[in-house]
Amino acid sequence: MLSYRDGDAHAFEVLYLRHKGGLYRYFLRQTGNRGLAEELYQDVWMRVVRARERYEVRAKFTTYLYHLAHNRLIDHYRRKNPEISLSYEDDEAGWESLPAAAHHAPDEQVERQRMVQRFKEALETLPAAQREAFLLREEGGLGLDDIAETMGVNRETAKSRLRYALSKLRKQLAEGED
Amino acid sequence: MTQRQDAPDGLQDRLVSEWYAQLEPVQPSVELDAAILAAARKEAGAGPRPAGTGATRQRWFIPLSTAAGLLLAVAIVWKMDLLNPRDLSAPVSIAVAPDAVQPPAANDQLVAKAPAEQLSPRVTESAAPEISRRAPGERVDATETPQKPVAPVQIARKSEEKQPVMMEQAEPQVVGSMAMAPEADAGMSETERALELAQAQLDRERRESVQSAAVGSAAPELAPQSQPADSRLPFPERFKQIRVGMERAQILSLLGRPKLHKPEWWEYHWMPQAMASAEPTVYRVYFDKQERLVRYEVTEGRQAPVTAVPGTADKK
Repeated sequence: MLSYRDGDAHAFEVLYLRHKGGLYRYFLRQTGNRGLAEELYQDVWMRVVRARERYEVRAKFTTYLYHLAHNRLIDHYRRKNPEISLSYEDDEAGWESLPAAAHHAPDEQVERQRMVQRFKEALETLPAAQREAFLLREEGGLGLDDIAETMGVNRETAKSRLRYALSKLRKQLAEGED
Repeated sequence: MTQRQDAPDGLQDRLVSEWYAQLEPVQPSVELDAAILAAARKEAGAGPRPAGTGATRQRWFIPLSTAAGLLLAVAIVWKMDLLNPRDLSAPVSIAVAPDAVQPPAANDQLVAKAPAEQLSPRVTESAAPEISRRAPGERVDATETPQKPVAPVQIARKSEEKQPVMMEQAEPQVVGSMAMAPEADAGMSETERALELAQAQLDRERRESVQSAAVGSAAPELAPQSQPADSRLPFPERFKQIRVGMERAQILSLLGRPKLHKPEWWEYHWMPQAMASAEPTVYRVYFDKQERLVRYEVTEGRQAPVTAVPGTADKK
């Protein structure tokens, strides 16, 4: 990003190719709408482009990028429904009692497709904040500290959201195997 | 997909990640990619920013502009000091412009072209041979006294470049009065002005008598310069009476009004009637800021000026 700030357009292309898939899926999984995801996705990249001269190294570029994405998503939610608030079930108990993750995958292709669809539905039904924490981990590859910084919360909150997300997804997978 | 970090926090579930990876690896459209990359290239200006922009430029711009301002101010002050010299008693060019010794008929042109020549700086040493037709080596400078040696050659300042004013020829109808160019008049002191006015009437009367006596003469006086109170003695004899340190008023009383004058010097021309066709002898006296005589010089014909030793008028 520093190279791009100094006028190296090729440096931006490298960044873009590295992050474009994850960021796009981040928006797509969060909104469930391809058109909206593309709009938000383009907005974030244009913010990166316009802010290039003001860019300072304060965190990893990935964290910076997803922080912009998070803010853009929140703006979208609030514009759509000013009274909306991301619901976090941080105090939800019992996640530790959930079954452990299985270490084998179904062999049959049909069963696999069914499980993928089930997982997708489980992901979509997650509370937005938990889903975001999960996507930041999966798509952005962010650690707990970076997730917390991106979402503007403390580390424990981020950790709690990620735990709930994982537990619910595991639960859905376990039920599907049954 | 971005390569995931290790999960030391214990919140990594490999099965969940595997299932997530099974989801459709959707990507943004090619058109969207192209639009974003084009905008990025446009924003970058298709090239690196030139060095010295932004914060870098701000670092040196203010000190540089400050230094430039100071330099400009110093240059202006220095220039003003050159244009308005404080020490008018410093040695000045003693070269006499050839126009100054021309017959009165040519002096009207001299007055007319004087302003154009005022702004042409010149070095006295180099200009003297051409203008005064004197050999530089023959010049003797009386200012080189043991107490205060002064360089004989000085760069002529603009204020000193004013063409000497031919008195009476400029305005013949005002015989004996202050027929001076405005720039020369501006350089006169109040004392001199008052003295000149008092002398004007006397000069007018004397000039009338001299002109009447010269009627029918084959060799008229070279210049109708005003006459002193004691005009019985010839001019050279009266000139011998002047002394360094005399006030300007005393010089005026003794020698009369000069033919040419500037605030810092007066010039008299004298030639016996029997030698009317020869070059006149030029007497020039120099004054300091206190209106006192500091030195004088005598030039006979086309010879180089002979500057007198301060303190006595008998030596040449």
